[in-house]
Amino acid sequence: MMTAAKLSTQHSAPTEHDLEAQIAEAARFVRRHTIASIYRATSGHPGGALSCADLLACLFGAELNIWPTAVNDRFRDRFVLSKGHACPALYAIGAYHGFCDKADALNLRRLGSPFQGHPHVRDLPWVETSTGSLGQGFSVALGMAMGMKLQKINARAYALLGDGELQEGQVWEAAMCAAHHKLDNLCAIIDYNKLQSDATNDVIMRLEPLADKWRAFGWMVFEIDGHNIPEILATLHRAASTHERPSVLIAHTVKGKGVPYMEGSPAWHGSVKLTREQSVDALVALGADQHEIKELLDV
Amino acid sequence: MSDNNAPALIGTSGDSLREAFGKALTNLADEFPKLVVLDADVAGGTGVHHFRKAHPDKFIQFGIAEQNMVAAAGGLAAVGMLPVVTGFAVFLSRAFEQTRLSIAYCKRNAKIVASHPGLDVGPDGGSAQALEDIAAFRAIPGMTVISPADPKEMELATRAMLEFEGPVYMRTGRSAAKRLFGDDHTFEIGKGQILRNGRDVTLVACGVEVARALEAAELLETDGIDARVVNMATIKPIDAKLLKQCAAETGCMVTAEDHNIYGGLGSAVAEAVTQGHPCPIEFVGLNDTFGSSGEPDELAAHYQITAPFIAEAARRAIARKGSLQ
Repeated sequence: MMTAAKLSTQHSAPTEHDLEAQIAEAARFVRRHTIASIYRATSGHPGGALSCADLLACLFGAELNIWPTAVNDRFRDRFVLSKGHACPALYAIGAYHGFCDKADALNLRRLGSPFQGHPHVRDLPWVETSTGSLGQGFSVALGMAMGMKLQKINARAYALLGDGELQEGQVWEAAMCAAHHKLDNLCAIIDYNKLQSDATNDVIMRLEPLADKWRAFGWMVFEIDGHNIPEILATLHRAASTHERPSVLIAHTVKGKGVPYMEGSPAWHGSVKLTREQSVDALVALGADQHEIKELLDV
Repeated sequence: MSDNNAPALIGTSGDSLREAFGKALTNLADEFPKLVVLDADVAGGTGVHHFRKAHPDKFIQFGIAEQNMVAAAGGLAAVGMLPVVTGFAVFLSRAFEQTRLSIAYCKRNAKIVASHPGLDVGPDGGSAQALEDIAAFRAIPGMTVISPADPKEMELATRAMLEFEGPVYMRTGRSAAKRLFGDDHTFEIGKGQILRNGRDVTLVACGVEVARALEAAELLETDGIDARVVNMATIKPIDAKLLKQCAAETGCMVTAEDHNIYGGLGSAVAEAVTQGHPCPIEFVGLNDTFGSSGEPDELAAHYQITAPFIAEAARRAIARKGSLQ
């Protein structure tokens, strides 16, 4: 965990309000960047990237003890995007915090670009592990948490999971294992946007009662609004002080959040091609002005 | 689970490859301070019960959940540990994709050691006999695949695997294995060894089939056929140089493995030989069939992977010499 000072460029101590405003700005950047990179790539998964933008902004802005200048520091926290298809949002928040170049990160899904269609640790060390097969990143984060405990490294491992991802049996193998081994340095965050590739979770494979499932597996469970920045920050803080139990944040979110025509529609889950008109509409909805739109889409 | 007062494991032998592996790993623990051993509730079967007893703090129980175990090994390696995943070959195959993504694609220094491969499993039957693992794991880019032949070689291979930087899949074995090598034996990843010289045919084998290939060479000798025997303990990367040399010098080959003939040692040998010095090759292994219950030697005879069948394949290969344009 880091203090609010990390983000601040001011000399005076930042207030909580400053921090929240900075994180909200980072989340807006992530959403705009996500739309622009998917437009440029002519493919990508916008819905689930937009739904986790506030969670990523909070993690990178105030929770994770990570530094662009020390991506191999053995005492750093580890963040794994287990729902790897949301990587345009990960690349954007990484770019925002200086882990990669902002313009480079717009070069998504192209031959020779390290910004592959799913994150690859051998291309971008700061993504910590390669993901794209649901369920695996969570287990990798568990292994990281375990390995840090064995080496008495006082750092935490975080995994951001999709809700559809919870249908993978491996997730529940890991959930059982983390509680059994009392991995209180492991934190799962579920981007619970209720939609998956083809339809709602309820239609494809029901997840509820979800909080009860995690409790039954021995986890400390927090249910939050995944777009409420103060609530996310406060809950991450509380989760970090859990003893002898792993913690999970079930973050209720809206798929496609911030782009009205995408919100709540599974059509925008999958890898889609955004037209110029759709991209401009989205960026306008995200508060971008004409100059920013031109810069994001054309330069 | 206590190791004391436990019922004797049926079929356990101090000379099995799994026991040799478990003991070697136990003895090497102090030399590799980051070593951790991962188990899916089969420690008594894989030989790592020795390790658990000696180094309980470096032994991690994952329960019967191989997918989580293998991906977690990727995480352990990512934070600097040296994870050795252990389990039965068939069950580790269910974590094939975890091996692919979270270990091999990430280039993690993690090891997977699979006991109970092939017909060597015996009475547990067809469901328990992995006949596809070499083919599957060999197909993963950057994966090293090893199948040692005897307890001494297993001991040396265990050290070599830990010293090697990168992902490794290693086969052990369930049944009592014949001792083939003495204390002067050496092992190097990627190197085949000529165990017996000969000029008429080369028998290339791995794992339990090496002993049978040596026996086949003796059978052939009584017919006046001079067979060379190569122990190819590393299936990937295969020792192409040695294979091309043997192809040139003996003019034909037989491969022998306790595995499906599709995709395993035989395929790896053929890939190397046909790119260097094409010659007739006969394949001894499971002919695209599953196994069944029975004692290992009975099964080996039934599925035609014993010495007489290797010898017969050698005669066929010799008869085909000169048939290639």
